[in-house]
Amino acid sequence: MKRLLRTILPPLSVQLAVLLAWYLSGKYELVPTTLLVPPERVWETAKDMWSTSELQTHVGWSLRRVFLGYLIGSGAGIVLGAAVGISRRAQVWLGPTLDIFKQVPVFAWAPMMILFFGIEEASKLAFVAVACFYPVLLNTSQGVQSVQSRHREVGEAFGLSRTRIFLRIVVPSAIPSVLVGLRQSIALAWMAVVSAELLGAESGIGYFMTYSRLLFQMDGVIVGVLAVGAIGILTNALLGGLERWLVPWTKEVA
Amino acid sequence: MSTRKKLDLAKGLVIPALFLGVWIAWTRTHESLLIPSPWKSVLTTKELWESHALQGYLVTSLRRYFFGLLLGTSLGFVVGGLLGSSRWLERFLLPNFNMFRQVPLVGWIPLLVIWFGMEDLSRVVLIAMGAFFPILLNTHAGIRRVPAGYLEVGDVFGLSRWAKFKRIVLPSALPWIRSGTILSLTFGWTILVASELLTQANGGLSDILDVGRERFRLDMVNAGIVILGLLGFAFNLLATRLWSIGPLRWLSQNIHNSH
Repeated sequence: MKRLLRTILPPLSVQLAVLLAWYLSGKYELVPTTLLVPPERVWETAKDMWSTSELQTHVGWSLRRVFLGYLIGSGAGIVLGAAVGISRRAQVWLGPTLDIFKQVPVFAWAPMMILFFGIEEASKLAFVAVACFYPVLLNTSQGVQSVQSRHREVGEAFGLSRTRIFLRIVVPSAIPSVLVGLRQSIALAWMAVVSAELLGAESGIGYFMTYSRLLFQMDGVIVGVLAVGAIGILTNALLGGLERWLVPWTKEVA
Repeated sequence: MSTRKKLDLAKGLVIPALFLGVWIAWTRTHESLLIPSPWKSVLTTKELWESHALQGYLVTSLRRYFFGLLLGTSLGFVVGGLLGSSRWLERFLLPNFNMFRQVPLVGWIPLLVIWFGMEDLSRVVLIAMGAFFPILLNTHAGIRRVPAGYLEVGDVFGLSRWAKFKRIVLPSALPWIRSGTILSLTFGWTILVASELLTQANGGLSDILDVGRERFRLDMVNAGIVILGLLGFAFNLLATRLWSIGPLRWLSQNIHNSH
């Protein structure tokens, strides 16, 4: 209880103060409502959107895209990262190629994806996959490489086959690092999907924000920002929870 | 470089060379809109350079990048320093910054555009937000990890709070701050591209991508990707070397010597 008071109350009081300032600025019209609508109107809009299930539909589309793109991108990242981490040969032959493509800022791929795959779903999934790829790849290969050689030697001393050494020794010691990569890349995936929808879409939370902005519906824009932020925080917490559940022995790194 | 290393490097370049070779050979006979010859991208880049468009893009983008980084890193350093120096501020603000950080940056773009318009200010603010958090968190972490013994030495010598900060805290937090700047510089470049693409045609380097997409000119898009990648690579290199060149080297040595 005392810990609760010390850790939760102070930051919460800051949040409440900000909310209060926001409310008062609306009440006394300190800021024009075209720039900032009062919190109660944002709440009303959010409630309306929820009851017409507009909000759920847009969020649902975005989440679907994130999920599929993430699956493809991080799957490819794990496979290639493991290959590069295990085999020196793979590292030598593939490493420089991977390094070259890594230099390109992620968002620069988006226009190319649109030309290649069209403005519809495929280009968005491809873009999300590309955004997920590198964090997972780098963390996986690092995790695999960091397996201590004496652990491997124990396996060899017990006469385990290569596949068994891989499954029993390499995989468990690489998992914490892989999970770090998965957590980094879910944040990037979410950012990628929102930006792909801002660039051009007919559904999804990013599309909804652009649409509201063009109609000067400030309340809609703020609902969008809040939804994007809340999902960002939730996914991070979810992956953090997964880490604590799967690999409780590693200390969580914020 | 040992022969083994040279051999490894040569092996590593086989796939890129093969990729380029197949691409060139394919486009000799099957030139298409979707897969234009790489030579076309070279020509496009040359044209952009000769018409001075590329130089203009470059200056605009670098200006945004520079001001965004300046704003973000200096604010991040100050706030990180404050959070590191005061338990009280840390308790009230750090959890909020940590929460804020998890909001995807591009989600702010529609709001920034309403507040600051489709102008450079929106882009600079977004880049600054991207650069802000790595410096803040690293400065804070670096200060928190100053060994208590060092501070006790300062107490023994009767140093003032400010003198302790300047002579003990800052030098020993410097490696952390250094990694913070590296993260900020590289992430800032990524965010620059996002800020340009998502606020439409604007006279920056991402215009090459944007115009290329509008006109279905993949040679242009490819050229843009390579240019942005090369510059990103250069900034990566710069970021890691930043602390050992010119004035900054003097700065970090000076801080170290004063201790």
